[in-house]
Amino acid sequence: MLKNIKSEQGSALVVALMLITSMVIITSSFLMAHAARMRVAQRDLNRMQAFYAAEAGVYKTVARLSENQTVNFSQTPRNESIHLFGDTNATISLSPHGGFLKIKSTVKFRNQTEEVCALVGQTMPPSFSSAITVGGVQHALVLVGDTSIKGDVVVGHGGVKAGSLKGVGFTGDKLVHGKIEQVSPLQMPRFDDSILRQAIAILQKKQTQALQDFFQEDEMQIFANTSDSLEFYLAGETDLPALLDSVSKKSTVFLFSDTNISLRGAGKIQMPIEVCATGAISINGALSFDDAIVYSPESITVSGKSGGSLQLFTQNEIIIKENANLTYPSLLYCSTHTTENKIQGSVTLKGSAHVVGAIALAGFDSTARKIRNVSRVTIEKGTALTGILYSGYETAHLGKVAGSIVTNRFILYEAPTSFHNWLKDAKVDRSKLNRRFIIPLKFGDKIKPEVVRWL
Amino acid sequence: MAIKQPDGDAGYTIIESIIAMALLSIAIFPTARIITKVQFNAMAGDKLTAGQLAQAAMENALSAETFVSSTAELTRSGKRWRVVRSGKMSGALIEITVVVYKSGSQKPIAALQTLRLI
Repeated sequence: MLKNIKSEQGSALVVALMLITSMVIITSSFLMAHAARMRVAQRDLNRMQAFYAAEAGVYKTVARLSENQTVNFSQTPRNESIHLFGDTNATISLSPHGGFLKIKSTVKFRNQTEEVCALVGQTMPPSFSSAITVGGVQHALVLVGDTSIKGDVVVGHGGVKAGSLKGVGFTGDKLVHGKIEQVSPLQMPRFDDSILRQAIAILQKKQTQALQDFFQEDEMQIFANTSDSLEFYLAGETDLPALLDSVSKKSTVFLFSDTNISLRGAGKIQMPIEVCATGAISINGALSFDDAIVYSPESITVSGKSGGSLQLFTQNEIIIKENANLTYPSLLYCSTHTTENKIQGSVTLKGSAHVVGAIALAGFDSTARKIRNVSRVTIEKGTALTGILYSGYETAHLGKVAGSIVTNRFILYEAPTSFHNWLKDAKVDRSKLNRRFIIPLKFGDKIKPEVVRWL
Repeated sequence: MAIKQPDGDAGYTIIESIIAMALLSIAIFPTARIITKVQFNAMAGDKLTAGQLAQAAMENALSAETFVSSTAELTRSGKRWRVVRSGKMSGALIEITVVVYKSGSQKPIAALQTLRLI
């Protein structure tokens, strides 16, 4: 036995086997590493292509909306497959997002799936190409004090003239730095607020369901986790950053109430927020929202240093005051309501408030004698709007507008008198508005949808 | 002069040698692949570089005010590349395609495609 072990016969086979094993191991590891590298390179390329194709899906949908002008969508997103190019298809879903449309596009390209989500509004229609359009009264637009209008003006046959109020005349160097177009008969440019009313209906429906579920619970839960969002019942004051501290930034949060609520605290709220309360809603402190939709039939007030991208919906009153700063693309929409033979509704900027986006007041100057329209947009001195203002009734403008105003008429109140179609110390500069400024849907006769931002 | 055989060593048997040679020849196959690996590695590197060039060209096209078709010759990672950017109108949309080739070759290494509104 020992003799056999000592024998060197057959050692070459052992050596060769060891050598081969080592070579195979080394070779295999190199090959595997190479294959992994190739896979990574190809996967990156496929993922990149899937991403660009998903973006293409959004643009193709936008083009189709532009062609057929149908931006009506159901409350439940529908998935639809569209062909892009070659053998690449995208799955598209459309859903309302306040005054905008949310398009989600998903593409699978060689086992890599990419999803992009875009917020779509519309480019400014021709009616907002002028600095001022007065669409409801034929008499002259009267300018007083340090009023400055840079851009074209569309008015009735009264034209534009300088006035004098309590000994103060027009102090500007030129009435209008642009063309004056006198139109007769006057007509307010088209504004179809059906999508905005639908946005309100969606929030109301969600609130009704949430309240029903909330009160049916045996033990009242402060929040419920539904399939698509986290829901919180609120009453009174709430420190919002503290409430959302443990919530993922990707979650959609729905805050609902059957009473007045006040959101306070300081910090950036990065997740999409929807707020719906039966009572008044107050946002104060220093809250900055990335994407929030807020509805109250009573009133919405944003104050302190709060702001960010906010879409505010009401039937009664919106007040933006103090140092509130609403960023692009914000929307302040008041649908107005009728009480005691009056159509009421107001949007007011006070203090040092600044809004970048759109203000829309959907009133109309009723011809029925028994109904008075007292709805109004007010831009107080010291405040500023960068964007567009559409007022179906009257506008009191004493601040700065970098953009365009379309109003039924202007109003200037100097106690004890109201002056119709007068402007005092007001600034309007149409040239300061970027050509690519996107507004909510659907202003104008023919809409041209465009991506506002990627979500 | 007679060569004296070392004591107790009759040399490898023929069977041992044949088996060893057979096994070694089997080892040559993966060894040859190691050599080609260098080339494969370069291919993976090329794909990465081509992907980066395609993405840069696509972003450049998307950020431009108006789209212009172009062909550019570039040197990257010590190699020459040809980046071809083309656009095809389709209604309100433009189909933008970027294809990256190695200089002198007609075989695309990376290609990207998207749509934008005109």
